[in-house]
Amino acid sequence: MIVKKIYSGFKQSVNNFSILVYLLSIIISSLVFNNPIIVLVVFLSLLFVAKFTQREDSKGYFKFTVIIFLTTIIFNLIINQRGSNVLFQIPLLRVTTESLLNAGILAFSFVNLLLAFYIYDSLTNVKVIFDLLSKSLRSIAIVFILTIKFIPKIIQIFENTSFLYKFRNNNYHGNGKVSKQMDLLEIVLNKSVASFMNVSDVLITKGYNERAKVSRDYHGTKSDYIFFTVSFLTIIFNFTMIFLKTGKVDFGSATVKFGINSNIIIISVINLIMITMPILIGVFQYLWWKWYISKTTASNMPTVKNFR
Amino acid sequence: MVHFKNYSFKYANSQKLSLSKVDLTINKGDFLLLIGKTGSGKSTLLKQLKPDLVVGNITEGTLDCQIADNNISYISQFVDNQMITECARDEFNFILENRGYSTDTRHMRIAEVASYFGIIDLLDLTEQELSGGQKQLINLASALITDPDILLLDEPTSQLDPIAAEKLLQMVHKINSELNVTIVMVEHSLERNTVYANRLAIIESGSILLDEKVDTALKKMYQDNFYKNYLSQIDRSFMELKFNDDMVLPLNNRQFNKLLIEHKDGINYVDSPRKVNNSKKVLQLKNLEFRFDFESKTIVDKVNFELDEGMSYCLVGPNGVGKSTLIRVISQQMKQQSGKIVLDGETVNNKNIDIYQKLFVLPQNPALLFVADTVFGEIEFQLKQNNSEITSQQVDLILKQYDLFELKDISPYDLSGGQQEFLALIIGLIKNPEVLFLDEPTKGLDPNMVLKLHELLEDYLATGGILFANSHDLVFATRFDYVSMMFDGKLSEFKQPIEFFRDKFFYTTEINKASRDSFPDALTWNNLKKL
Repeated sequence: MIVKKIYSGFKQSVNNFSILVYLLSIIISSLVFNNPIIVLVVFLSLLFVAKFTQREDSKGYFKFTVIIFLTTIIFNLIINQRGSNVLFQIPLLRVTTESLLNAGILAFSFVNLLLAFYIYDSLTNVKVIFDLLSKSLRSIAIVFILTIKFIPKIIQIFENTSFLYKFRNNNYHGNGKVSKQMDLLEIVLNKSVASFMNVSDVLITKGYNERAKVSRDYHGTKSDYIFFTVSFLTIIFNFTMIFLKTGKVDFGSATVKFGINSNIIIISVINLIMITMPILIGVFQYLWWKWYISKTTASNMPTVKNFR
Repeated sequence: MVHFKNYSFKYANSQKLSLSKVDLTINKGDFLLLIGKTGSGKSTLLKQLKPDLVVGNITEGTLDCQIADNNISYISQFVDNQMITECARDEFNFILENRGYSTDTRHMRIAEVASYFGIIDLLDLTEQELSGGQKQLINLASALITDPDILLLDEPTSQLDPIAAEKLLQMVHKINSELNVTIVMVEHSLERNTVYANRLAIIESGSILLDEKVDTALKKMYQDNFYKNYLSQIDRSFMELKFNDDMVLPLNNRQFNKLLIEHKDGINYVDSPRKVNNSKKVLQLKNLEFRFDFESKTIVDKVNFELDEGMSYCLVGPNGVGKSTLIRVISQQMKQQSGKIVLDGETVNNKNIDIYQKLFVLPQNPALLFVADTVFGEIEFQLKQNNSEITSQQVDLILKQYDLFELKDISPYDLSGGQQEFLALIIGLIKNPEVLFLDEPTKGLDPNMVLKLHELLEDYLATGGILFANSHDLVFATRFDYVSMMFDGKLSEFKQPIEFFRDKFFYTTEINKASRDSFPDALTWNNLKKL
């Protein structure tokens, strides 16, 4: 599995701090621009990276993303029917190039944000967040942990409870479905609160209530410096462009159109490079190992060759 | 090093004293086993040494503890959700950072602990990838990484299968004997753990009833009709058979085997009569197959069996072989990929809502079943499903019938693991389904509750119900009409317990292991009677 090798090449050569700066940078990239070209480029690069960092339980997340995408497009086409270039018309709905473009921009922006958070979720771990927040904002760190750790947990509780509830309730499929759903939600919330209480006990047994100041030093590698610098400079670059009103279109209006000029291309390329950095670093690390390090340092024994 | 003197304690949200006039001394290097029935206050007593875990006040007496709070470690009975971070390595780092250790010390500590516990390979696995036993081992390592003087364990083995439980106890014993760490362990039964302890205390209604050396304590407990059920099968059998030999309890299987051979002529094998099965088939499984993913292995592999009216079936086998998954597939929480399930002559599928009325499932985590704020509410909800005009007096009556009246105003989530299990079971019995599925029903129950459970299940079977249970508890399995073993997704043929256990070498009851040379059919202590 070449993707796995590239991914581990990337993970081995960067530290958590530079990953966080990178994540901040991709979230900003997916938030600030609404030029269709940039949005599309950001979308493709994020999709590529998301696929690269894919975890096992990602099917549901991608399904959810597609649903959000489609609903946004359909809603927008219905609500905003401005524009003059009519593509087709059915009763109550007039689809124009402009309205389709507006809908597309919004849908892709949503999806970009979802993908950025998906990547965030697969690259960070609970401990990094704890390290960052617990120094000054101890209680916020706990809230963070509860959200990261317990949203999937609550979904699981919900699924199990709603299934088991059918065995306890004789008229599950009878009348009053809405009120039953409300009952069910209340039950699920009660159970979630009970399991939150449990976490607070766990934190106490692990000594979090008397957490001491910890010294932590991150050792930066060359990859780290490159990764950090590119991410950080892109953040500054993106904000400058927004300040200069480049990369934005008149979203929602009847005159929205694809605007291509050299600035847009530069923004797209810079963001493309920044977003795909993990893959670039991974590929570089892998090739460096395969064609240089393993040739020069390891012997020519058959066992060693197998690892090349 | 710890001394409770005339100590009384009350929870902030309760009127009643949870601990009353406790006198107890714990010395350096002790391995103290603390038992008592559910709700007797044993966990409360344990948590007094970790005051941040209990909200309440001391009403009387003193607790003299010479050990600083951060030199006392605590392990709860829950195996899941004990890790705050993703993997053991992060977890260890997190704990050590909370204590303010330097990077280098942290690194060395993790190296030490990981090699001592043999968990180097588990350091980077996520919680989903670890088995129950491995998780509990990591919890134990997390508790010891800070180098504590006292280790408090609250029913650490109640969620584990017998093999994993044995391994954990051996590790706790090693910590006690090699590192001289003082151990206080709360348990709900005395199977397997008495060998390692040097003291045994019983707590009843918040007071210490007995506190002796293990041998004396076990012999005294036998004299008490209530506590004699706590004895391990081997010790109970030894006491029941009244051998004249003066042996120190607990006995191991080898000693007991020798005694049985010596006294063979004075002992009689008794078997309780078995039911004859000539009743009608209710549930049939035909070639049932299930796997989670296309490329994953088959969890339920071409399973075929039939369940008959009024009969009980028990499925045994180690953790992770697909026992719980099988129940989920039968109850249609997960859909089988092939094969079919026939209930009362009709094929079951998730559109056929009949199954929700005819079946009841008690899951591994009983709390998932609860829907109300109080125990009273739970029972009331279930009774109202059959008769919407039920009065609160009638609910009270049912609560009294099942010994739950005292708990009626407590939130079901505040009950102990054993009480939750018992309440969920009562809910199932009130529903009175055609087939009752129980996933590990004896988990966390004390021996007397298990006996009560037997009685209730016998009554249910007598009305024509069908019982299908998964269990690690082999003594419990011997009470069923049929037993089968699951491994690699396949089920062995359902056999009567004697036939099933007769040819098992490892996977059988302790009495059976110890008596196979003299009484090969004996499975529990009541199969052996003095002439």
